[in-house]
Amino acid sequence: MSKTDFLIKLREMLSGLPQEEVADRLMFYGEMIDDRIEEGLAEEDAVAEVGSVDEIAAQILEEVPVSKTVNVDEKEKRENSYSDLKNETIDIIEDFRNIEIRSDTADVAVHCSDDNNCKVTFSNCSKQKHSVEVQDNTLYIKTTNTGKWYEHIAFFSVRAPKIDLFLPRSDYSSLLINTNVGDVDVKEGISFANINVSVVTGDVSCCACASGSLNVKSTTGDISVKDISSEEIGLQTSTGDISACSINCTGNINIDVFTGDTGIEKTACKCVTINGATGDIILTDVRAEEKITAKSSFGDLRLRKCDAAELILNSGVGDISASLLTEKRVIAKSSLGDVRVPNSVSGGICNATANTGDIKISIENI
Amino acid sequence: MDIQLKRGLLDVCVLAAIKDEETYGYKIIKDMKPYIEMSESTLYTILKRLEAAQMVNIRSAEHNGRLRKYYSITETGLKRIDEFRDDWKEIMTIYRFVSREDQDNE
Repeated sequence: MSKTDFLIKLREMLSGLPQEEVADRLMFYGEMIDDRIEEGLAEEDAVAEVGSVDEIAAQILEEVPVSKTVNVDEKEKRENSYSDLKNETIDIIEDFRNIEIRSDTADVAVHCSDDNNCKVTFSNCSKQKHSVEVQDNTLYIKTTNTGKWYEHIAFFSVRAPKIDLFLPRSDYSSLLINTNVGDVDVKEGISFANINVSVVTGDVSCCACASGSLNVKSTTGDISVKDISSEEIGLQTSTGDISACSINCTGNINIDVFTGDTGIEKTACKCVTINGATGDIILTDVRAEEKITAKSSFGDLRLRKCDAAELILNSGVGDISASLLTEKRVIAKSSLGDVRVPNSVSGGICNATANTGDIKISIENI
Repeated sequence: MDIQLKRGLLDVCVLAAIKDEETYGYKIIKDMKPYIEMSESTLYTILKRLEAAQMVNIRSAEHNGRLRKYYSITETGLKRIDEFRDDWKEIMTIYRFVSREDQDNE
């Protein structure tokens, strides 16, 4: 079993517990698996050593008092801990080309500054220590928690800790954001060579320019990217939806989703590869110079006005439907479903395989 | 073993595993292994209990591009280990008394 499968299954089995409890447990087990992999174990072996999900879940559910799901005391405590909130603004005068933001629990937003000044604001972060410094051409923003673990959890509070970074309009070389719990929002108007965002529990939205590469990873959360021009794009989430719109990529787009839908719209690239497990994959107006590869075990594949020299569409239970822009030699196979495809003998190749689903492929305007 | 007694023993084991330097979850399990096998979920529960009792501080720090939780002992935690040592002397005295009775009977 892979680490992601392990975490997804554990998450499902703990669904009766409060979200913060589940998120904390998932982080704990994820770390235990990562540490074993780092020591040289193969991923599957590392997961096996941690134990069976069923037993772990049973043990956790046995330990956690039932009252925890509706604990008034804790809710009050949480509200009190937010009563002494404070906001702080730090002006940054040094020059830098790289940005590194590391935080445990906070929403992070990167904005284009209105007045060309560079500053960072911390809101509702009273239970956190933060540091801001510029070193070796890099702006480092770090926060660490100081209060009790449950005091930071902001799922039920509108006043979540937040870090806002305002950057003067310029070309930056790299943006790295690494958070545990919290949403990340990189707004439009700023250009980076490389953007790298990694979140354990939180949604990520990115509209900034990433001329070199854009990599976004979230274990539990949605990812949405828009108006991006880049050479290489990688989007990965275990439990969440992925949506991409108006993308221009000279290289490859790689998408991995486990439990969630993938939607791509108005996109041009060299190759796009999408691996889904249980969600639907919907591509609208996607043109790949070379290859479109889409696989889903349980979801549907729906392509509308898409094209590539070669298409590989693979589904287990779901249906495959595609409307393509140019003629294709179609090779389609479904074990149990209906197959309706055009009989072209020229053009590129479209290879569609389904297990129980139907396959329907058509060529637009021909 | 009596649950309360076992719980107290395991708490002290974890405190002993972190008393010399700040450490992380997997290392705690490895360090304790020659003496006692502990599952991840047991360790998790104990660490949370020790944190609530302010015997352990927990912080997250970056390690190889990911966040890892680090645990360190507090003054209260060190005091708990000392208390355990004192308690144990008492228990050993009782144990010797109990065992001597057994031997006499045999």
